[in-house]
Amino acid sequence: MQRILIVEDSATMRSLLASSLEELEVPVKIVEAESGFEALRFLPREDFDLVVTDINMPDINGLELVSFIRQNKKYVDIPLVIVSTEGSERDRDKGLQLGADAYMVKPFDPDMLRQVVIDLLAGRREER
Amino acid sequence: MAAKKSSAKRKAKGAGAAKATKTKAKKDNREFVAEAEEILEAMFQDLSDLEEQRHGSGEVDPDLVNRIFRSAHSLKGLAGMFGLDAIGELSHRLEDILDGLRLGRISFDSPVIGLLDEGVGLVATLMTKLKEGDSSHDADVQAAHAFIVQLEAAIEAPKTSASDEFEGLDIDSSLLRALTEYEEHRLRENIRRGRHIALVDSTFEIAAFEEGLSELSSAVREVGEVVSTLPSPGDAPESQIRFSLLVVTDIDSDRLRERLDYPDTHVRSALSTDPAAGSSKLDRETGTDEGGGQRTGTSESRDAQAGDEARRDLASSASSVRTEAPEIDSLRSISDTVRVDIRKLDELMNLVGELVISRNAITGIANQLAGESQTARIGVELTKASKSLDRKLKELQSGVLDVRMVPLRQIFEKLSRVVRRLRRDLGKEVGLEFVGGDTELDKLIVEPAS
Repeated sequence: MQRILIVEDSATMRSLLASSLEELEVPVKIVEAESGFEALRFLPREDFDLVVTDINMPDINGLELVSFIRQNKKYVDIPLVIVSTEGSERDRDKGLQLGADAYMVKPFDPDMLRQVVIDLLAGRREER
Repeated sequence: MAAKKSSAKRKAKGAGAAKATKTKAKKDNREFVAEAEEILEAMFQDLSDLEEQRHGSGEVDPDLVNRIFRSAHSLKGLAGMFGLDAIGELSHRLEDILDGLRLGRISFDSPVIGLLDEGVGLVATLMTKLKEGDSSHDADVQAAHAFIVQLEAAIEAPKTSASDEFEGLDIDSSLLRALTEYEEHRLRENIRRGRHIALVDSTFEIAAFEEGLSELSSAVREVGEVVSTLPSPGDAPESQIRFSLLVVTDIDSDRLRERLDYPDTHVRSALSTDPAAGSSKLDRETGTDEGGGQRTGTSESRDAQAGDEARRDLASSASSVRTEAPEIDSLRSISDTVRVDIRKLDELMNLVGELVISRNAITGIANQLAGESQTARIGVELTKASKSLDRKLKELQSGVLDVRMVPLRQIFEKLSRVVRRLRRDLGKEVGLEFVGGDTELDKLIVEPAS
């Protein structure tokens, strides 16, 4: 069972991300956080295999969440995907520099998202 | 809010890219419409507040502008996912303007601001047509495109932003790296204004950090602005979490430290070229510095003095005129509402109606039993129970009715937009005052009137 944490403040977008990832060819458990703060509370509760996060969120932004995950020994290896609405190139570059593994622009192609996630999960399994 | 485990019954199953979503059922559009309506409602209110601030004190709350930007940003993203091109494109243009405003590239005196209302109104019109399932709204789409052209023509050439690299700031690079472009702009803008820059580090138990952090952030907002909130692992990473708040204030770090008298919270000036001052983290509980030595008022004053000098240097190096710093709203809005389909409330109301009928039947039986000598006792008991049921039913009925009530203000919000447009078109000051906007009516009555 692959555990994926989705962090996104829009309920509709969360639903779209989750439904896209439910169709992975591997069994998944999806946990949805509606804010960065909620993600910080959920992270210690499960051994997540992957995190998908938005950037523009009201409490802490996605970059701050990526920074936190990459600084924490417990989570440092979790693959990270940023899915954000087309916007600042600079924010995208920063996300990747901070340690995100992939960056996708909304509206995202579910097939492409699934492929990125499958590749990252496979890479993580190999590392283990 | 608990984690929501995925469900096979998820409404939006299979939704995704534009090519995949164009054929999606109306049901999915309803999901979009519900969230988008909420966003639009907030945008109208925020635009109204923006207009008041522009024409009132002249000082605009950056959090307000950023909030409107985020609304347009969300709307664009959602519309894109559902293949709603016209709404997406229009939201994109509005987002561009709002991005320019929040990053200081577009002036708040620009006439383009006056078009924001109209743009949001157009999105609302397109949404209404979508909600009604009207697929033949070409005229509205054309109006949207014409409006986009108008917007593009009105947008000023972007001003180039300063390219300083926050030299002289004693801030950990991990924090600077996680700043979004907007947060960088806020930091730069506040340096330009000559405000004090400080770092507030606070450690919390991970299981219950939100309340403490919210209290701390609110206290900061009473005297300034929180530019960034960066989480990092605490000394005990399994159970603790540390937050570094990059804040800008109108008071110096000593006074800020006095105000933020919370456990495990350290305040220091981030504007220092003096390494000693830069590392002066005062432990609020023990009154000792990180090295464990007793701090003295004299050394703190020296630190503050060094910080002040650095602040002056940094501000003077920015080639702009200082203006009076705005008072920042101390409360951060936290949503504690849920969106419910009105039809579900109708169903609840019907159930209450059926329960009332059942209650009447029980009352009748109770009266009958009370009238017979053999069953009088049980009849009286049943009557008591029936009366108790009656009271609870009335409470339930009142509760369900209460949930359906919405403030009357909604009907008149459009008038605000008309007035703002008049003010813009005629170049005259026009005031509109609402009294009793909080009066509540059933949503079904308010909706047709709006």
